[in-house]
Amino acid sequence: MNIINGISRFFVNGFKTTFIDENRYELFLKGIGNTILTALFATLVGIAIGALIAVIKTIHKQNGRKLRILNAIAEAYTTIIRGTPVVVQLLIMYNIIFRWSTHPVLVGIAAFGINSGAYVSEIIRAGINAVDIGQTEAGRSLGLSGSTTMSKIVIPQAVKNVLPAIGNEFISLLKETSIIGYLGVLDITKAAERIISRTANVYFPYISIALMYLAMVLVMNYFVKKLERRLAKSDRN
Amino acid sequence: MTETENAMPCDAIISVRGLYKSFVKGKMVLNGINCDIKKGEQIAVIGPSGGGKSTFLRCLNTLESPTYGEIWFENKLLTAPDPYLHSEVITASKTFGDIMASGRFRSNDDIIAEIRAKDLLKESGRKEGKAYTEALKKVEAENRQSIDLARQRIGMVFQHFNLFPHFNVLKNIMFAPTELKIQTPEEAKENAMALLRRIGLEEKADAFPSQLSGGQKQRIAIVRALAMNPDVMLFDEPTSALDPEMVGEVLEVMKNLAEQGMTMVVVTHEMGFAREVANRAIFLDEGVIAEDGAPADVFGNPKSERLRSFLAKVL
Ligand SMILES: Nc1ncnc2c1ncn2[C@@H]1O[C@H](COP(=O)(O)OP(=O)(O)OP(=O)(O)O)[C@@H](O)[C@H]1O
Ligand SMILES: [Mg+2]
Repeated sequence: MNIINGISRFFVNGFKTTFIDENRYELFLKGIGNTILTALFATLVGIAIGALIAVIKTIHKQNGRKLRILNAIAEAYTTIIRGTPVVVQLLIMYNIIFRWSTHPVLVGIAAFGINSGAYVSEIIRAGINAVDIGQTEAGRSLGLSGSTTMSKIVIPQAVKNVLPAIGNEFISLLKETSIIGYLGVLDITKAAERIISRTANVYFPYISIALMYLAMVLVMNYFVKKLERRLAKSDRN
Repeated sequence: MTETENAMPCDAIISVRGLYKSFVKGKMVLNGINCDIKKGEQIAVIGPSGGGKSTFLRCLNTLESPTYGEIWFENKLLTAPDPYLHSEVITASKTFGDIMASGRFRSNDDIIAEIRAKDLLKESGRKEGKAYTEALKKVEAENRQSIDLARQRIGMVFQHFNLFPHFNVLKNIMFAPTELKIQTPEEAKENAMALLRRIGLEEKADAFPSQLSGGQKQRIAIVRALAMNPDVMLFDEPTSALDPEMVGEVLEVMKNLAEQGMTMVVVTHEMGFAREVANRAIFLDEGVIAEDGAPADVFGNPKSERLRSFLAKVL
């Protein structure tokens, strides 16, 4: 009896100190908001940068004379981003490059977006390469220009190929952004840390945020899988 | 090289002059082809696998860039522009300027002739200067434009159809004419529906390629090319990816086209079709045109042992 009492007191107390006291649930809500906001906009920045890099690399590969300088920059960018830890990139962005900035959330979005762009560019490049070369040939044989063929024939098909992978990139970012607390941004993880510093109870807040991340990832996973099935169905050729 | 710019070699729609093509150094796939494709000709290109038929066909609209040689469409040179063919490029070169300054020649034409005769532009390591590069770039841009314009008049049908899977049938047909502003959307739609009626696939206008059979896809692909009102149609084994029961419907469409006088170049293994429909047959073997003539002669009276043994195998 005592044990059960003890356990239930532990849970009731833990829940109360973690969520109820001083309206701490508001911290979590804010944290969830910032986590989703950062991950979402970082994904969008990543798509924009990634698409640009992918198109530069693809055009350069088709014709070695074109975009030589831009391609060199793109190569350097992907090498640096993929060769250094994201925490280090985040700290460099915050403490050196965007030192003057007073909006840590924006710095976080920029840092994660720039990081994500390097990976998304590879996703998009693979998506473009996966489009049958016959599509380009059909477009060009009709007299369409290279750029029209690329933008109206190849890219729309590539987008279909990459949508699920982009969804997964967003899921990765949901988790990766948990280090944005380094910049003082109140995300989910930071919310837990703040509460722990006041209550000295580590169990409840940490387990709670783990469950929150898990729940968000599972929901997103569900949508990505659904999207994948939808695209697979419309794509049978 | 003393040809002047835009000289038309003859009254052909497409002229091929000294065409060589290699994909890997030292191994020529096409080995010096000369050929004129005239209006109203229906040419069947036959030959053993790997003999270069597809490569030849794809060089005609420069989907494949020739290694050497010239492809002319009407009076436009489609192959990479040779600086020697363009006097405005020559006169922009440093070499030209130097000779001019030396005062050895009287007229520009004399200097140009001298540069051409002695191949002076290609002297190793010589920089011809910015004006030359600019002039050459301009010529190259014009060349790209000529290619796109020529391709608008040269329809191509592929072995694997290559319909656009993200467009429905109607949009597949309308896309190029409207995108290139050759037809208004209304005209393009009317035109597309008329073409679909012609092949009896009107009711498929809203279908997506994934919902069609192979034979239907290939007929749509033919119609997509026809929507541009081409002067020539190129076919690369249009029936060899089809189930046997669908070959007939595609050949029927091609036969109709031939009867209407469309100029056609058809790479095919369908010897029956080559014999009955074509009015010229070309036997392409090891990268050269080994025999070329009326189908009755080529099939009925082969001159070479290679053609005889090829025909024995396929007939
Ligand atoms: N893109 C390429 N890269 C390298 N080699 C190529 C390429 N395309 C064709 N070849 C080679 O060129 C040769 C001729 O090929 P081509 O496809 O023109 O022959 P074909 O007469 O059309 O044969 P088939 O009847 O099998 O279609 C072959 O040896 C082939 O391997
Ligand atoms: Mg072939």
